[in-house]
Amino acid sequence: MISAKVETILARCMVDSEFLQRFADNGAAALDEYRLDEKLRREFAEIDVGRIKGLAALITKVQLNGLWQHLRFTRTLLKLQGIEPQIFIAYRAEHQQNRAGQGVCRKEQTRRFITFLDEYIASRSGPQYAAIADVLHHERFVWEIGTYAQEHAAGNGASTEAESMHLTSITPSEFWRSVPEIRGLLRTQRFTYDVSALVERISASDPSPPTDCPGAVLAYWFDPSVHSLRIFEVDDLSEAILNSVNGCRSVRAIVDRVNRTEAVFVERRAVRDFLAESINAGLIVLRPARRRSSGVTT
Amino acid sequence: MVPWTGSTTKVGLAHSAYVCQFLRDEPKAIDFVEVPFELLRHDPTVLSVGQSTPLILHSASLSLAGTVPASEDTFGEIREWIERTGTPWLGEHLAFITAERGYFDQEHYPGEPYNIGYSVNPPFNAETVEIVAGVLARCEEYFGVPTLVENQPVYFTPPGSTMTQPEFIREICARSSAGLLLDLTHLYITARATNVEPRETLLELPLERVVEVHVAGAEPGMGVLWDDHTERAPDEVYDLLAIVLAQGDVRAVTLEYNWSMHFPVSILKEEIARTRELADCA
Repeated sequence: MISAKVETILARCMVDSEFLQRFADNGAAALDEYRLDEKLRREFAEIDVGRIKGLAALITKVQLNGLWQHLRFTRTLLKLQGIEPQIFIAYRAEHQQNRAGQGVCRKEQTRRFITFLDEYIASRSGPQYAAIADVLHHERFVWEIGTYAQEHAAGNGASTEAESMHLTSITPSEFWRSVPEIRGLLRTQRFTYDVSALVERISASDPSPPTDCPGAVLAYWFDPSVHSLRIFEVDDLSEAILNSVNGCRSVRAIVDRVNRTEAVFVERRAVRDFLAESINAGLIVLRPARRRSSGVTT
Repeated sequence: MVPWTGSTTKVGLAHSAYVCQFLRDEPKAIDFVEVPFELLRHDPTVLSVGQSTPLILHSASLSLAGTVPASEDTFGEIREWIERTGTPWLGEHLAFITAERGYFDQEHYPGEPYNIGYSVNPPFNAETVEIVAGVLARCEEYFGVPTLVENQPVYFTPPGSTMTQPEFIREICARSSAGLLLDLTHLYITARATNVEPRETLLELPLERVVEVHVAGAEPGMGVLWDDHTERAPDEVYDLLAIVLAQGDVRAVTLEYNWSMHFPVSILKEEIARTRELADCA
């Protein structure tokens, strides 16, 4: 009977984060739920709770070993910085919910962990966290675009071309009303450090951020015409424009939005030039403005 | 399946995503691959590794030391994989993975046991010895191959324990015919956590029962060492391996570098060479 009671309590510590926290805060009170003799209560009280938490974190970590596939440098950096246990202790509750919910696939597990880690890192400040954020964003985009590429097999670009407009064949007013759309998938990110230098350091087991290599704004684009990922640097204005392109806003609305949010006056010509360049590169297509619905149902 | 043959100490790898490529690049580097039953159950195509290399079946699903017995289905599936892999034995953790849900925690999953999904040390006492001996007797009768029990790392002494882990293992060996799957990294972690010399802990075990050895890395944190299959084994683990190889009749040494698919191949080769050298010297 003793073994059953002990295993029940240890198992609960491993799968029930709320109980584990109560046990850590006030072990005696948490154990009141169980009928234990004094000797067992004393033995539970003598355990270093940090080690029980550490074991719970280790279990979470091991059950998420699949994340190494896509977040190799992020996980290496967490390890090098010695904060893996804290991360996995913090993620324990959500991980247990995921385990309890049926049908959480590897992709969804990855997405949920990335979201958690992104928020966890964002809530902390300091160069070490900025470095983790950088490498996480880099690997996140590579993973998202890889996943997108798998789901959108070659040939998907054909329908995109069908109703696209050509800059040379439209009037200025049609241009301002037209709706730019990204071909494929695009993510942009402002990095604190140079990602290549950061990854190089992580590969050399050096957890210090490359403070002498400042970051840039990078665009990660899945180019459907060659079915591959392209990573390139963009300036502030290009970033602002690209982030405003959502397949619904017209060119005019994009200019207004950029002027409003960036607090810099954007010349229409600059937008036109950027869009022309992006269209030539295959990054953006222009669509005709959608006709407003008449409201009549036939 | 490639059959398991010969009586010399063989060196192999625990299955990981990189193993197939490694075998293609280095077909003679290892003698076997250890495959988890849980992986085969999830992805039976992994069995194809056995077309070029002998397999050893490992499991963490019997909850050997648990008070909630594994289901008949689990026993049946393990037996099926024993047959399909042609494994010479079954390695199983001397631990529990499921436990009864207490009376006070029936809100969400009434009647269902807790499923930790990972091996945890039971209390080291006569009651648990009895449970383990009972399951091992069942395994012996049901599986047709020997069952080896694997020592877990002890990060803290489980409440309700009346003996040390080596004493617990000795009792189980005395009560059954099971062999030992001695995880030297687990032993090293245990010795460090309990402030005992690793060599002393090692020599307390019935080394003549050791059939297979596991070697992996360990990482410091929170004042102890933690099991870490993404790191190479500490030198001290290899010192222990030399002792075991010299004293026992070890048939297999498995390098468990299976937690990251990016484990460096160059280090893997060095670890294999180091293990082979020790095995050849023994």
